[in-house]
Amino acid sequence: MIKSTPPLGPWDWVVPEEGEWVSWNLDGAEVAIQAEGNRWHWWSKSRKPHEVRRDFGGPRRGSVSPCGRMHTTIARREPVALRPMIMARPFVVRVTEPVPIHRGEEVRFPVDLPVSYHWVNQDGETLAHPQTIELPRTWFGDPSSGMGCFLWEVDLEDPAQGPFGSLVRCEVVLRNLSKAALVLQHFAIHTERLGLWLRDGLLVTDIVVVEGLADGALRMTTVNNPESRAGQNLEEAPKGPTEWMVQRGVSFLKTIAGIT
Amino acid sequence: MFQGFEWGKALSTTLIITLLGMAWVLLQALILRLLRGRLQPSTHQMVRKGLGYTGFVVLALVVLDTLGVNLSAALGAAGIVGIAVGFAAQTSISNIISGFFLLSEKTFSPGDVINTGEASGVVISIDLLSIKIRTFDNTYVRIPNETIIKSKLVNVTRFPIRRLDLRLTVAYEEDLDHVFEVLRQIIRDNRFALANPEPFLQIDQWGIWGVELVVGVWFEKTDLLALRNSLMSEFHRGFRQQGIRIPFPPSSFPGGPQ
Repeated sequence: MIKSTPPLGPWDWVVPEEGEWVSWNLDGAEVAIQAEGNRWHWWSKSRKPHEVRRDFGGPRRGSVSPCGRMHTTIARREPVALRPMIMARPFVVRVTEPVPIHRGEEVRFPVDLPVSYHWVNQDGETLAHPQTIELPRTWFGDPSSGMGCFLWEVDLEDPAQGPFGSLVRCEVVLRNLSKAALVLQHFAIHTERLGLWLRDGLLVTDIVVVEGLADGALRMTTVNNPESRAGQNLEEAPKGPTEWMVQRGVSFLKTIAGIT
Repeated sequence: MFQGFEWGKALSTTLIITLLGMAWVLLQALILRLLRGRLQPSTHQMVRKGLGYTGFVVLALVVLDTLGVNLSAALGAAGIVGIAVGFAAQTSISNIISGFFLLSEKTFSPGDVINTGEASGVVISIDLLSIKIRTFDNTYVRIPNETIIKSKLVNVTRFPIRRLDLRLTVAYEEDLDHVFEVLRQIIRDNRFALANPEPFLQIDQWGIWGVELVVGVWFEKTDLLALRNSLMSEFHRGFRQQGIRIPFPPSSFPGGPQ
Protein backbone atom coordinates (compact mmCIF):
# COMPACT_ATOMS: atom_id res chain seq x y z
CA MET A 1 0.00 0.00 0.00
CA ILE A 2 1.48 3.34 -1.05
CA LYS A 3 1.26 6.02 1.60
CA SER A 4 0.48 9.36 0.10
CA THR A 5 2.04 11.76 2.63
CA PRO A 6 4.30 13.55 3.19
CA PRO A 7 5.23 14.53 -0.36
CA LEU A 8 8.95 14.54 -1.01
CA GLY A 9 10.93 15.81 -3.98
CA PRO A 10 10.29 13.76 -7.10
CA TRP A 11 7.36 12.13 -5.41
CA ASP A 12 5.51 15.43 -4.94
CA TRP A 13 1.85 15.76 -5.79
CA VAL A 14 1.32 17.76 -8.91
CA VAL A 15 -1.71 19.12 -10.78
CA PRO A 16 -0.80 19.95 -14.36
CA GLU A 17 -2.33 23.11 -15.80
CA GLU A 18 -4.67 22.45 -18.72
CA GLY A 19 -2.58 21.11 -21.61
CA GLU A 20 0.69 21.45 -19.70
CA TRP A 21 3.24 18.64 -19.68
CA VAL A 22 4.92 17.53 -16.46
CA SER A 23 7.96 15.31 -16.81
CA TRP A 24 10.44 13.33 -14.75
CA ASN A 25 13.95 12.19 -15.62
CA LEU A 26 14.66 8.72 -14.28
CA ASP A 27 18.37 8.11 -14.83
CA GLY A 28 18.16 7.63 -18.57
CA ALA A 29 14.43 7.04 -18.79
CA GLU A 30 11.86 9.78 -19.09
CA VAL A 31 8.16 9.92 -18.30
CA ALA A 32 5.67 12.74 -18.82
CA ILE A 33 1.98 13.36 -18.25
CA GLN A 34 -0.47 16.00 -19.44
CA ALA A 35 -4.06 16.71 -18.38
CA GLU A 36 -6.72 17.79 -20.87
CA GLY A 37 -10.03 17.91 -19.09
CA ASN A 38 -10.59 14.40 -17.84
CA ARG A 39 -8.18 12.96 -20.39
CA TRP A 40 -4.63 12.32 -19.26
CA HIS A 41 -2.02 11.82 -21.96
CA TRP A 42 1.26 10.21 -21.03
CA TRP A 43 4.31 8.74 -22.63
CA SER A 44 7.50 7.11 -21.48
CA LYS A 45 10.95 6.58 -22.87
CA SER A 46 12.49 3.45 -21.43
CA ARG A 47 16.15 2.56 -21.27
CA LYS A 48 18.14 -0.65 -21.33
CA PRO A 49 20.22 -1.60 -18.27
CA HIS A 50 23.46 -0.42 -19.87
CA GLU A 51 21.86 2.95 -20.66
CA VAL A 52 21.24 3.81 -16.98
CA ARG A 53 23.07 7.07 -16.19
CA ARG A 54 22.87 9.64 -13.41
CA ASP A 55 20.11 11.99 -14.43
CA PHE A 56 17.30 12.07 -11.93
CA GLY A 57 14.83 14.87 -11.38
CA GLY A 58 11.32 16.17 -11.63
CA PRO A 59 8.51 16.85 -11.66
CA ARG A 60 9.35 19.55 -14.18
CA ARG A 61 6.66 21.69 -15.74
CA GLY A 62 6.93 22.94 -19.27
CA SER A 63 6.97 21.84 -22.83
CA VAL A 64 8.44 18.49 -23.68
CA SER A 65 8.79 16.76 -27.00
CA PRO A 66 6.87 13.53 -26.60
CA CYS A 67 8.81 10.62 -27.97
CA GLY A 68 7.49 7.12 -28.35
CA ARG A 69 3.92 6.00 -28.21
CA MET A 70 1.32 8.28 -26.64
CA HIS A 71 -1.21 6.76 -24.27
CA THR A 72 -4.45 8.15 -22.90
CA THR A 73 -6.32 7.42 -19.71
CA ILE A 74 -9.53 8.93 -18.40
CA ALA A 75 -9.63 10.11 -14.81
CA ARG A 76 -10.81 12.96 -12.65
CA ARG A 77 -8.70 16.14 -12.70
CA GLU A 78 -6.86 15.95 -9.38
CA PRO A 79 -3.34 15.83 -8.01
CA VAL A 80 -1.18 12.93 -9.19
CA ALA A 81 2.20 11.70 -8.06
CA LEU A 82 4.79 9.35 -9.45
CA ARG A 83 5.41 6.36 -7.19
CA PRO A 84 8.01 3.60 -7.33
CA MET A 85 7.11 -0.07 -6.88
CA ILE A 86 9.23 -3.12 -6.32
CA MET A 87 9.29 -5.38 -9.37
CA ALA A 88 7.09 -8.44 -9.00
CA ARG A 89 9.54 -10.91 -10.56
CA PRO A 90 12.65 -12.11 -8.77
CA PHE A 91 16.05 -10.91 -9.95
CA VAL A 92 18.94 -13.13 -10.89
CA VAL A 93 21.90 -10.85 -10.26
CA ARG A 94 24.99 -11.55 -12.35
CA VAL A 95 28.29 -10.31 -10.94
CA THR A 96 30.57 -9.12 -13.75
CA GLU A 97 33.74 -9.94 -11.78
CA PRO A 98 33.18 -13.19 -9.82
CA VAL A 99 34.17 -12.95 -6.14
CA PRO A 100 35.51 -15.99 -4.24
CA ILE A 101 34.05 -16.41 -0.75
CA HIS A 102 35.87 -18.83 1.52
CA ARG A 103 34.03 -21.06 3.92
CA GLY A 104 32.77 -19.28 6.99
CA GLU A 105 33.27 -15.89 5.33
CA GLU A 106 30.68 -13.21 4.83
CA VAL A 107 30.47 -10.59 2.14
CA ARG A 108 28.25 -7.52 2.28
CA PHE A 109 27.52 -5.27 -0.67
CA PRO A 110 24.78 -3.02 -2.04
CA VAL A 111 22.90 -3.78 -5.24
CA ASP A 112 20.90 -1.07 -6.99
CA LEU A 113 17.83 -2.71 -8.48
CA PRO A 114 15.40 -1.19 -10.97
CA VAL A 115 11.85 -0.47 -9.85
CA SER A 116 8.68 0.09 -11.81
CA TYR A 117 6.74 3.34 -11.64
CA HIS A 118 3.13 4.38 -11.72
CA TRP A 119 1.11 7.56 -11.39
CA VAL A 120 -1.38 7.49 -8.55
CA ASN A 121 -4.15 9.78 -7.45
CA GLN A 122 -4.80 10.69 -3.83
CA ASP A 123 -7.14 7.72 -3.41
CA GLY A 124 -4.20 5.47 -4.19
CA GLU A 125 -5.62 4.46 -7.59
CA THR A 126 -3.17 3.90 -10.41
CA LEU A 127 -3.67 6.15 -13.43
CA ALA A 128 -0.99 4.65 -15.62
CA HIS A 129 2.01 2.37 -15.48
CA PRO A 130 4.79 3.65 -17.77
CA GLN A 131 7.56 1.30 -18.79
CA THR A 132 10.92 2.78 -17.80
CA ILE A 133 13.35 -0.09 -18.23
CA GLU A 134 13.70 -3.01 -20.63
CA LEU A 135 15.05 -5.86 -18.58
CA PRO A 136 16.35 -9.09 -20.06
CA ARG A 137 14.66 -12.18 -18.73
CA THR A 138 16.10 -15.40 -17.48
CA TRP A 139 14.78 -18.60 -16.02
CA PHE A 140 15.05 -19.80 -12.44
CA GLY A 141 15.15 -23.57 -12.57
CA ASP A 142 15.21 -26.29 -15.19
CA PRO A 143 13.15 -26.26 -18.38
CA SER A 144 10.30 -28.19 -16.73
CA SER A 145 9.89 -26.09 -13.58
CA GLY A 146 10.96 -22.83 -12.02
CA MET A 147 9.96 -19.24 -12.61
CA GLY A 148 10.73 -16.26 -14.79
CA CYS A 149 13.24 -13.75 -13.45
CA PHE A 150 14.85 -10.51 -14.54
CA LEU A 151 18.54 -10.60 -15.23
CA TRP A 152 20.51 -7.76 -13.65
CA GLU A 153 24.25 -7.25 -13.94
CA VAL A 154 26.29 -5.56 -11.20
CA ASP A 155 29.94 -4.67 -10.93
CA LEU A 156 30.97 -5.06 -7.30
CA GLU A 157 34.40 -3.60 -7.99
CA ASP A 158 33.16 -0.38 -9.57
CA PRO A 159 34.55 2.43 -7.38
CA ALA A 160 32.22 4.97 -8.99
CA GLN A 161 29.23 3.02 -7.82
CA GLY A 162 26.80 5.02 -5.76
CA PRO A 163 23.10 5.26 -5.21
CA PHE A 164 20.94 6.19 -8.19
CA GLY A 165 17.79 8.22 -7.66
CA SER A 166 15.62 5.97 -9.79
CA LEU A 167 16.97 2.63 -8.56
CA VAL A 168 16.36 1.04 -5.19
CA ARG A 169 19.32 0.20 -3.00
CA CYS A 170 19.24 -3.33 -1.62
CA GLU A 171 21.83 -4.40 0.94
CA VAL A 172 22.87 -8.02 0.34
CA VAL A 173 24.69 -10.17 2.89
CA LEU A 174 26.08 -13.41 1.54
CA ARG A 175 27.41 -15.96 4.04
CA ASN A 176 29.18 -19.11 3.05
CA LEU A 177 28.26 -21.67 5.71
CA SER A 178 29.12 -24.59 3.42
CA LYS A 179 32.28 -26.65 3.73
CA ALA A 180 33.75 -25.46 0.46
CA ALA A 181 34.69 -22.13 -1.02
CA LEU A 182 32.18 -20.66 -3.43
CA VAL A 183 32.66 -18.25 -6.25
CA LEU A 184 29.99 -15.61 -6.33
CA GLN A 185 28.88 -15.30 -9.92
CA HIS A 186 25.09 -15.16 -9.65
CA PHE A 187 22.56 -14.98 -6.87
CA ALA A 188 18.82 -14.52 -6.72
CA ILE A 189 16.87 -11.80 -4.95
CA HIS A 190 13.25 -12.66 -4.26
CA THR A 191 11.48 -9.34 -4.27
CA GLU A 192 8.16 -10.64 -2.95
CA ARG A 193 9.21 -10.18 0.70
CA LEU A 194 10.92 -6.83 0.38
CA GLY A 195 9.52 -3.60 1.74
CA LEU A 196 10.30 -0.31 0.01
CA TRP A 197 11.43 2.78 1.94
CA LEU A 198 12.43 6.33 1.20
CA ARG A 199 15.39 7.50 3.29
CA ASP A 200 17.24 10.79 2.73
CA GLY A 201 15.70 11.02 -0.74
CA LEU A 202 16.88 7.53 -1.75
CA LEU A 203 14.91 4.36 -2.26
CA VAL A 204 16.00 1.46 -0.05
CA THR A 205 14.72 -2.04 0.71
CA ASP A 206 15.06 -4.43 3.60
CA ILE A 207 18.32 -6.37 3.83
CA VAL A 208 18.57 -9.65 1.92
CA VAL A 209 20.65 -12.42 3.52
CA VAL A 210 21.64 -15.40 1.39
CA GLU A 211 23.35 -18.30 3.14
CA GLY A 212 25.06 -21.20 1.44
CA LEU A 213 24.45 -24.07 3.85
CA ALA A 214 26.57 -27.10 4.69
CA ASP A 215 24.31 -29.46 2.76
CA GLY A 216 24.67 -27.34 -0.36
CA ALA A 217 21.24 -25.73 -0.15
CA LEU A 218 20.69 -21.99 -0.12
CA ARG A 219 18.64 -20.14 2.44
CA MET A 220 17.39 -16.64 1.83
CA THR A 221 16.16 -14.36 4.57
CA THR A 222 14.77 -10.86 4.61
CA VAL A 223 15.97 -8.78 7.54
CA ASN A 224 14.51 -5.47 8.59
CA ASN A 225 16.91 -2.65 7.96
CA PRO A 226 16.62 -0.27 10.95
CA GLU A 227 18.21 2.57 8.97
CA SER A 228 15.69 2.13 6.16
CA ARG A 229 12.81 1.93 8.55
CA ALA A 230 13.70 5.32 9.93
CA GLY A 231 12.51 6.68 6.56
CA GLN A 232 9.13 6.81 4.91
CA ASN A 233 7.48 3.52 4.05
CA LEU A 234 6.35 3.39 0.41
CA GLU A 235 5.52 -0.28 0.06
CA GLU A 236 4.93 -2.67 2.93
CA ALA A 237 6.44 -6.15 2.70
CA PRO A 238 3.72 -8.83 2.78
CA LYS A 239 3.11 -10.35 6.19
CA GLY A 240 4.28 -13.87 6.81
CA PRO A 241 7.55 -15.69 7.33
CA THR A 242 10.59 -13.75 6.19
CA GLU A 243 12.70 -16.84 5.86
CA TRP A 244 12.23 -19.61 3.40
CA MET A 245 14.22 -22.29 1.71
CA VAL A 246 14.38 -22.00 -2.00
CA GLN A 247 12.61 -25.19 -2.92
CA ARG A 248 12.45 -24.89 -6.65
CA GLY A 249 15.49 -24.56 -8.79
CA VAL A 250 17.90 -25.40 -5.96
CA SER A 251 20.25 -27.23 -8.31
CA PHE A 252 20.23 -24.25 -10.63
CA LEU A 253 20.96 -21.92 -7.73
CA LYS A 254 23.80 -24.12 -6.56
CA THR A 255 25.23 -24.06 -10.03
CA ILE A 256 24.98 -20.34 -10.46
CA ALA A 257 26.32 -19.64 -6.98
CA GLY A 258 29.28 -21.91 -7.65
CA ILE A 259 28.48 -24.35 -4.81
CA THR A 260 29.63 -27.83 -5.77
CA MET B 1 -60.16 -42.29 -11.50
CA PHE B 2 -58.19 -43.24 -8.42
CA GLN B 3 -59.72 -46.68 -8.18
CA GLY B 4 -57.16 -49.22 -7.01
CA PHE B 5 -54.71 -46.52 -6.15
CA GLU B 6 -52.93 -47.36 -2.90
CA TRP B 7 -52.34 -44.19 -0.94
CA GLY B 8 -50.11 -45.99 1.56
CA LYS B 9 -47.77 -47.31 -1.13
CA ALA B 10 -47.64 -43.94 -2.88
CA LEU B 11 -46.80 -42.19 0.37
CA SER B 12 -44.08 -44.69 1.28
CA THR B 13 -42.63 -44.48 -2.24
CA THR B 14 -42.54 -40.68 -2.08
CA LEU B 15 -40.93 -40.85 1.34
CA ILE B 16 -38.33 -43.33 0.14
CA ILE B 17 -37.54 -41.21 -2.93
CA THR B 18 -37.17 -38.12 -0.77
CA LEU B 19 -35.00 -39.78 1.88
CA LEU B 20 -32.87 -41.69 -0.58
CA GLY B 21 -32.48 -38.61 -2.77
CA MET B 22 -31.38 -36.49 0.19
CA ALA B 23 -29.05 -39.21 1.43
CA TRP B 24 -27.50 -39.55 -2.01
CA VAL B 25 -27.05 -35.79 -2.42
CA LEU B 26 -25.36 -35.61 0.98
CA LEU B 27 -23.15 -38.62 0.23
CA GLN B 28 -22.24 -37.17 -3.16
CA ALA B 29 -21.37 -33.80 -1.60
CA LEU B 30 -19.25 -35.54 1.04
CA ILE B 31 -17.35 -37.62 -1.52
CA LEU B 32 -16.77 -34.62 -3.78
CA ARG B 33 -15.63 -32.53 -0.84
CA LEU B 34 -13.14 -35.23 0.18
CA LEU B 35 -11.83 -35.44 -3.38
CA ARG B 36 -11.58 -31.68 -3.92
CA GLY B 37 -7.99 -30.61 -4.32
CA ARG B 38 -6.82 -34.20 -4.75
CA LEU B 39 -8.13 -34.55 -8.28
CA GLN B 40 -7.72 -32.38 -11.33
CA PRO B 41 -10.82 -30.26 -12.03
CA SER B 42 -11.66 -32.33 -15.13
CA THR B 43 -11.45 -35.64 -13.18
CA HIS B 44 -13.47 -34.11 -10.37
CA GLN B 45 -16.18 -33.12 -12.84
CA MET B 46 -16.23 -36.60 -14.36
CA VAL B 47 -16.54 -38.24 -10.89
CA ARG B 48 -19.40 -35.84 -10.12
CA LYS B 49 -21.23 -36.84 -13.28
CA GLY B 50 -20.58 -40.56 -12.60
CA LEU B 51 -21.95 -40.26 -9.05
CA GLY B 52 -25.02 -38.45 -10.38
CA TYR B 53 -25.80 -41.17 -12.92
CA THR B 54 -25.18 -43.97 -10.39
CA GLY B 55 -27.51 -42.30 -7.87
CA PHE B 56 -30.20 -41.96 -10.48
CA VAL B 57 -30.01 -45.64 -11.46
CA VAL B 58 -30.02 -46.84 -7.81
CA LEU B 59 -32.95 -44.58 -7.01
CA ALA B 60 -34.90 -45.80 -10.03
CA LEU B 61 -34.34 -49.46 -9.06
CA VAL B 62 -35.43 -48.84 -5.47
CA VAL B 63 -38.57 -47.03 -6.60
CA LEU B 64 -39.48 -49.79 -9.03
CA ASP B 65 -38.93 -52.39 -6.29
CA THR B 66 -41.14 -50.40 -3.88
CA LEU B 67 -43.86 -50.18 -6.49
CA GLY B 68 -43.84 -53.94 -6.76
CA VAL B 69 -42.23 -54.24 -10.17
CA ASN B 70 -40.51 -57.61 -10.57
CA LEU B 71 -36.90 -56.50 -10.86
CA SER B 72 -35.39 -59.91 -11.53
CA ALA B 73 -37.46 -60.22 -14.71
CA ALA B 74 -36.74 -56.61 -15.58
CA LEU B 75 -33.01 -57.05 -14.93
CA GLY B 76 -33.01 -60.25 -16.99
CA ALA B 77 -34.63 -58.37 -19.83
CA ALA B 78 -32.23 -55.52 -19.21
CA GLY B 79 -29.34 -57.97 -19.55
CA ILE B 80 -30.49 -59.00 -22.99
CA VAL B 81 -31.16 -55.41 -23.92
CA GLY B 82 -27.76 -54.56 -22.44
CA ILE B 83 -25.98 -56.99 -24.75
CA ALA B 84 -27.77 -55.50 -27.73
CA VAL B 85 -27.08 -51.97 -26.57
CA GLY B 86 -23.50 -52.95 -25.79
CA PHE B 87 -22.89 -53.98 -29.38
CA ALA B 88 -24.49 -50.78 -30.57
CA ALA B 89 -22.61 -48.63 -28.08
CA GLN B 90 -19.14 -50.03 -28.59
CA THR B 91 -17.81 -46.67 -29.74
CA SER B 92 -19.32 -44.81 -26.82
CA ILE B 93 -17.97 -47.30 -24.29
CA SER B 94 -14.58 -47.19 -25.94
CA ASN B 95 -14.67 -43.40 -25.65
CA ILE B 96 -15.63 -43.58 -21.98
CA ILE B 97 -12.80 -45.99 -21.18
CA SER B 98 -10.41 -43.88 -23.25
CA GLY B 99 -11.57 -40.87 -21.22
CA PHE B 100 -10.53 -42.60 -18.01
CA PHE B 101 -7.11 -43.38 -19.49
CA LEU B 102 -6.74 -39.78 -20.59
CA LEU B 103 -7.52 -38.55 -17.11
CA SER B 104 -5.25 -41.05 -15.39
CA GLU B 105 -2.34 -40.26 -17.73
CA LYS B 106 -2.72 -36.53 -17.10
CA THR B 107 -1.28 -35.75 -20.50
CA PHE B 108 -3.08 -32.43 -20.57
CA SER B 109 -5.68 -30.49 -18.65
CA PRO B 110 -8.16 -27.70 -19.48
CA GLY B 111 -6.28 -24.55 -20.46
CA ASP B 112 -3.39 -26.39 -22.13
CA VAL B 113 -2.66 -25.85 -25.80
CA ILE B 114 -2.59 -29.17 -27.64
CA ASN B 115 -1.84 -30.23 -31.16
CA THR B 116 -3.36 -33.45 -32.48
CA GLY B 117 -3.66 -34.76 -35.99
CA GLU B 118 -7.23 -33.43 -35.93
CA ALA B 119 -6.78 -29.86 -34.71
CA SER B 120 -4.76 -27.47 -32.56
CA GLY B 121 -6.14 -25.25 -29.84
CA VAL B 122 -6.85 -24.63 -26.19
CA VAL B 123 -8.50 -27.48 -24.26
CA ILE B 124 -11.88 -26.35 -22.94
CA SER B 125 -13.01 -29.57 -21.25
CA ILE B 126 -12.31 -33.28 -20.96
CA ASP B 127 -15.64 -35.11 -20.86
CA LEU B 128 -16.90 -38.69 -20.73
CA LEU B 129 -16.98 -39.17 -24.48
CA SER B 130 -14.83 -36.45 -25.96
CA ILE B 131 -12.61 -33.48 -25.39
CA LYS B 132 -13.54 -30.02 -26.57
CA ILE B 133 -11.02 -27.55 -27.83
CA ARG B 134 -11.16 -24.00 -29.08
CA THR B 135 -8.94 -23.51 -32.10
CA PHE B 136 -6.88 -20.37 -32.62
CA ASP B 137 -9.25 -19.13 -35.30
CA ASN B 138 -12.04 -19.48 -32.72
CA THR B 139 -13.86 -22.60 -33.81
CA TYR B 140 -15.19 -25.25 -31.44
CA VAL B 141 -13.89 -28.75 -32.09
CA ARG B 142 -15.04 -31.98 -30.45
CA ILE B 143 -12.57 -34.85 -30.64
CA PRO B 144 -13.65 -38.35 -29.42
CA ASN B 145 -11.50 -39.65 -26.56
CA GLU B 146 -10.74 -42.81 -28.51
CA THR B 147 -9.20 -40.75 -31.31
CA ILE B 148 -7.00 -38.91 -28.84
CA ILE B 149 -5.80 -42.16 -27.26
CA LYS B 150 -4.99 -43.65 -30.65
CA SER B 151 -3.20 -40.67 -32.14
CA LYS B 152 -0.08 -38.67 -31.44
CA LEU B 153 -0.74 -35.67 -29.24
CA VAL B 154 1.58 -32.74 -28.52
CA ASN B 155 0.99 -30.69 -25.38
CA VAL B 156 2.54 -27.38 -26.34
CA THR B 157 2.18 -25.70 -22.94
CA ARG B 158 3.09 -28.54 -20.60
CA PHE B 159 6.35 -26.92 -19.49
CA PRO B 160 6.73 -23.28 -18.46
CA ILE B 161 9.40 -22.49 -21.04
CA ARG B 162 9.93 -23.52 -24.65
CA ARG B 163 12.52 -23.15 -27.34
CA LEU B 164 11.83 -21.50 -30.67
CA ASP B 165 14.01 -22.81 -33.49
CA LEU B 166 14.41 -20.42 -36.39
CA ARG B 167 16.14 -21.32 -39.66
CA LEU B 168 18.16 -18.68 -41.45
CA THR B 169 20.30 -18.73 -44.56
CA VAL B 170 23.25 -16.39 -45.17
CA ALA B 171 25.44 -16.04 -48.24
CA TYR B 172 28.59 -18.16 -48.51
CA GLU B 173 30.74 -15.02 -48.60
CA GLU B 174 29.73 -13.97 -45.08
CA ASP B 175 32.01 -14.24 -42.05
CA LEU B 176 30.09 -16.73 -39.89
CA ASP B 177 31.73 -15.57 -36.64
CA HIS B 178 30.47 -12.07 -37.35
CA VAL B 179 27.01 -13.40 -38.22
CA PHE B 180 26.89 -15.34 -34.95
CA GLU B 181 27.98 -12.28 -32.98
CA VAL B 182 25.23 -10.17 -34.57
CA LEU B 183 22.65 -12.87 -33.83
CA ARG B 184 23.79 -13.20 -30.20
CA GLN B 185 23.58 -9.45 -29.67
CA ILE B 186 20.06 -9.30 -31.12
CA ILE B 187 18.92 -12.18 -28.89
CA ARG B 188 20.54 -10.56 -25.82
CA ASP B 189 18.63 -7.34 -26.50
CA ASN B 190 15.28 -9.04 -27.12
CA ARG B 191 13.02 -8.66 -24.10
CA PHE B 192 11.21 -11.96 -24.66
CA ALA B 193 14.32 -14.13 -25.08
CA LEU B 194 15.62 -15.82 -21.92
CA ALA B 195 19.28 -15.47 -21.01
CA ASN B 196 19.17 -18.82 -19.24
CA PRO B 197 18.94 -21.46 -20.73
CA GLU B 198 21.35 -19.95 -23.21
CA PRO B 199 20.36 -19.71 -26.87
CA PHE B 200 22.16 -22.02 -29.25
CA LEU B 201 23.47 -21.24 -32.71
CA GLN B 202 24.25 -24.03 -35.10
CA ILE B 203 25.41 -24.38 -38.68
CA ASP B 204 22.83 -26.79 -40.04
CA GLN B 205 24.12 -27.51 -43.53
CA TRP B 206 25.67 -26.15 -46.70
CA GLY B 207 22.53 -25.32 -48.62
CA ILE B 208 21.92 -24.70 -52.30
CA TRP B 209 21.83 -20.91 -51.91
CA GLY B 210 23.89 -20.37 -48.79
CA VAL B 211 24.88 -21.53 -45.31
CA GLU B 212 21.82 -22.68 -43.41
CA LEU B 213 21.77 -21.84 -39.70
CA VAL B 214 19.51 -22.88 -36.83
CA VAL B 215 18.97 -20.41 -33.99
CA GLY B 216 17.29 -21.82 -30.86
CA VAL B 217 15.95 -19.25 -28.39
CA TRP B 218 14.25 -20.06 -25.08
CA PHE B 219 11.17 -18.14 -24.01
CA GLU B 220 8.28 -18.25 -21.56
CA LYS B 221 5.44 -20.22 -23.11
CA THR B 222 3.06 -17.27 -23.35
CA ASP B 223 5.49 -15.20 -25.45
CA LEU B 224 5.69 -17.32 -28.61
CA LEU B 225 4.17 -14.86 -31.06
CA ALA B 226 5.79 -11.80 -29.51
CA LEU B 227 9.21 -13.46 -29.59
CA ARG B 228 8.84 -14.85 -33.08
CA ASN B 229 7.67 -11.58 -34.63
CA SER B 230 10.18 -9.39 -32.82
CA LEU B 231 13.15 -11.69 -33.51
CA MET B 232 12.32 -12.14 -37.18
CA SER B 233 12.11 -8.39 -37.77
CA GLU B 234 15.20 -7.69 -35.61
CA PHE B 235 17.25 -10.30 -37.51
CA HIS B 236 16.15 -8.73 -40.78
CA ARG B 237 17.02 -5.22 -39.57
CA GLY B 238 20.30 -6.35 -38.00
CA PHE B 239 21.42 -8.14 -41.18
CA ARG B 240 20.62 -5.09 -43.30
CA GLN B 241 22.51 -2.77 -40.95
CA GLN B 242 25.54 -5.06 -40.89
CA GLY B 243 25.44 -5.72 -44.62
CA ILE B 244 24.89 -9.46 -44.14
CA ARG B 245 23.26 -10.85 -47.26
CA ILE B 246 20.30 -13.23 -47.16
CA PRO B 247 20.49 -15.20 -50.43
CA PHE B 248 17.42 -15.98 -52.48
CA PRO B 249 16.93 -17.95 -55.70
CA PRO B 250 17.73 -15.93 -58.82
CA SER B 251 14.75 -15.45 -61.09
CA SER B 252 14.40 -14.17 -64.62
CA PHE B 253 11.35 -13.11 -66.56
CA PRO B 254 10.86 -13.68 -70.27
CA GLY B 255 11.15 -10.34 -72.00
CA GLY B 256 12.54 -8.67 -68.87
CA PRO B 257 15.81 -6.78 -68.58
CA GLN B 258 18.91 -8.90 -69.25
